Amino acid sequence: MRKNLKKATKTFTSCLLAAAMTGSLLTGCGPSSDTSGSTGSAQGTDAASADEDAPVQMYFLTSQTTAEVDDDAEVVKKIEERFNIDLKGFYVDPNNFQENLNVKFAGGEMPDVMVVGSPADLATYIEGGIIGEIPIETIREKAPNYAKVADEYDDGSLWTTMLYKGKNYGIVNPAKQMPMAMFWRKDWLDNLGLEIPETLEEYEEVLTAFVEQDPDGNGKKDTAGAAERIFGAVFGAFGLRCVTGTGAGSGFIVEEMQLGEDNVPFFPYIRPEAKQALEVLHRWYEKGIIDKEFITGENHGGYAGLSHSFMNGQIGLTSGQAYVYFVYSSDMNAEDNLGTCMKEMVAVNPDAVVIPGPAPIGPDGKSGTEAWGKYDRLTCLTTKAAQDPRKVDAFLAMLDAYYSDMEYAELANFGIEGVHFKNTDHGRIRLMDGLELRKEGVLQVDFGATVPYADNLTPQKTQYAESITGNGYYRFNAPATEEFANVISTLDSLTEQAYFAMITGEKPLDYFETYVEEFKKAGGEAAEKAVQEAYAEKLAAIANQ
Amino acid sequence: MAPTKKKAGFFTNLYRFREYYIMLIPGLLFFLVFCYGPMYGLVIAFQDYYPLKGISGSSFVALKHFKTLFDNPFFLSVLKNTLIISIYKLLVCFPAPIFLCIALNEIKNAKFKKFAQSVSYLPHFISWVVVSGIILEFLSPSRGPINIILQNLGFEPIFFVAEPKCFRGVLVISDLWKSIGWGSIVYLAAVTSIDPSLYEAAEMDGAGRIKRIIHITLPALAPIVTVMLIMQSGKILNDSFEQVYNFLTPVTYEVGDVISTFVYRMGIQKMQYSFTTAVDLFKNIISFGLVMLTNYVARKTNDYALW
Repeated sequence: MRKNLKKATKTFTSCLLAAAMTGSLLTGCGPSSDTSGSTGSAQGTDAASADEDAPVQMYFLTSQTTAEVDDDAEVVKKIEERFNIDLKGFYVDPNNFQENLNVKFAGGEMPDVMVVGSPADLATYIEGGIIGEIPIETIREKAPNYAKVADEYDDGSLWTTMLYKGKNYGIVNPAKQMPMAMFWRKDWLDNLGLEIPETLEEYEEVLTAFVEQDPDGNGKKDTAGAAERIFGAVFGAFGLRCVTGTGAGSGFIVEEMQLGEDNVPFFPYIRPEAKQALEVLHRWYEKGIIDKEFITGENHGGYAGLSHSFMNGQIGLTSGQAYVYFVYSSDMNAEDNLGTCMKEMVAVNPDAVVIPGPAPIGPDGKSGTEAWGKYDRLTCLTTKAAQDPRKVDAFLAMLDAYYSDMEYAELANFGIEGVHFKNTDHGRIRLMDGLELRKEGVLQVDFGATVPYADNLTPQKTQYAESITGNGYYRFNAPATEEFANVISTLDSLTEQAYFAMITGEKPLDYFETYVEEFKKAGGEAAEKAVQEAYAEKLAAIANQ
Repeated sequence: MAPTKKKAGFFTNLYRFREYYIMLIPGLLFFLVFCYGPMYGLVIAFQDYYPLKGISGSSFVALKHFKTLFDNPFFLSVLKNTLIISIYKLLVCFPAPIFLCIALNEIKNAKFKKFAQSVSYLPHFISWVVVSGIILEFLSPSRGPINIILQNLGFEPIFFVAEPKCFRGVLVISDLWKSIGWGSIVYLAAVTSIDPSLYEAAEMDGAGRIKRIIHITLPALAPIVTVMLIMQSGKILNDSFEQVYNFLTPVTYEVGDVISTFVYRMGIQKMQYSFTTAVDLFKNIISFGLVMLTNYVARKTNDYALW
């Protein structure tokens, strides 16, 4: 009785909060009371005690596309039998996902397994009492096959990623992340009789020709070389990792730091080499190689990977993940080979021919492009699940199976052949969309494109992407520190303003030194130091275990 | 003890008009539950709040979040931008629907009037994401019609949205385009309640079109204009996030970064409830002051103040 009352109070509180969080607190109460209805559905009570052998209920929340699973689906039954669990999908309304999820937390509801975006979010969830501890020894003991792969692909930071204040809070998945590839308009190169360039100097020559020599042959000087998506490759030619925003807008992502060869993280944007890269970009901007409209971004809405400037024939070079253009080869005629961007491009601009090329090599022989994190899918157990040894065991068994049994990995990620996917010469092709698959239990309990998965289940895609890309500058998962969190948005704005001003020539290149000073003074120096120390501490903690 | 005369009057009235009071209850409850109840959630502005721990479980940090906000080097320029953009919008976008309403009112052809009205409020239903996409294309230095015209006239193309001098103008004009028709509805409703015999009588007395507008239409609109102005003044700090966010680029931060976009970048998506509540509290205190001030001025200058 008292328990019920407590639950009722909590639900009521969460309703109030939902109303309070929508923003206008004092003046406009009318238009914003629409989220208060979303807390109604209480998850079934946990049958944790009753029968020790009965399947244990487990709620999974592994992506923002959520669906409740169909209990009778074949995949669900197979997974349930194998691990003796009662598999449930944790449904969160995808519109305002984060807000709705937080309302559920406020009401005391949580899944058992959930994926978090970054280690910085991890801290918030741990402090908030949502994510529970899984000791590394337990993982090593219960999921030995996972641990073996993890050790193999550990660059020194893998086991530190999920550490917070000396304790471990989940697992990461070593993923085969490919760096960004460079994509050229082959028809433009052919029209001008040019080859795909290799060094930064050759890049400049070819791109200048794109501006001056009318590559599309329409008699007007209305083409540019490239826009902001190649900044990463230009910085890469000077050994730095540079990330520009995806989607609309084109700002720099300063919060993603770079891990040096000495295993010390740093902010690439304030390094002296960055000035050299800016010099190149400014020169290119002046020559018209960099499209003047890079300021509003290559992407004008829709799927964030699309480059409208490239699709519309405004620029002749862009950069992106291999699979958004080509899936398994550079063949433009095979329809199942075309990625999302390439499909759109063919529809808009049927004469365009696209070909991948290597990233530019800088004056000191360096080259490379941005790559996403090597460790993907930060998967955690909630405090609710971490307390229940059966749930911990089931979770680790599922993890281990995903790494050691490729048939199971196929079942969890692709489903059943003929129903959820079909086999072709070039790999598996899904037959349903994400939401449908999740209702059937597919993609509910998987761990993404792990290394064994990429090598065994999507070998064609992996090999192709490897063949057209070179060195990658991987994302460093910065440990959460207060010094960093407090100033990062300020550093972001500072960097964006200074960089845009220097590239467009509004401020001279010598402004770089002033910018670096300001960056350090605004807390950048302290933040960098704090992250370095926190990371060193984590490394020490791992060494002691 | 006999009740005092005044008290008896109150209870007698309560009984006499009981039906009305009963009808009032749902409305009162609505405001108590949905507007006044949540206000106690404001305490999270002074806490390090985590949803699962709840208000009772989160730690009290006094003014920490306000300090974070005021200490930020960009805060002052952001506040300045918010005020300037809102005041520009108030100066341009507030009177515009009144003019549109008067103009529509003068149209004698009923069919054309209906058509013009419908066309004018269509943009209201398009989301800012789409509108900004259209406007970015429209103003594009290489593909936009405006710049093609400019170039043909022999001028250099202007990259309006990336030019700090033009940025606020783009915001104001796009907002004007989107809101003018919808904003005029409330005035048109007020105009339809004017007795047509007033116009007829004025015409008989030889009043021209302008005279009729000044002496009949405008006085009839005065109360609603006052009320709308008071309401609008409360929104000065409530900038339009969707609009600004979709136009903003790093080159226009210094003229276009407003409170909502600034707070968004400060990490609203990272569960920083306490911080964002603190910002909202700050905004609302100022807005409350502005509403009180406008109402005071209205009460002193005309009879149509809200209270």
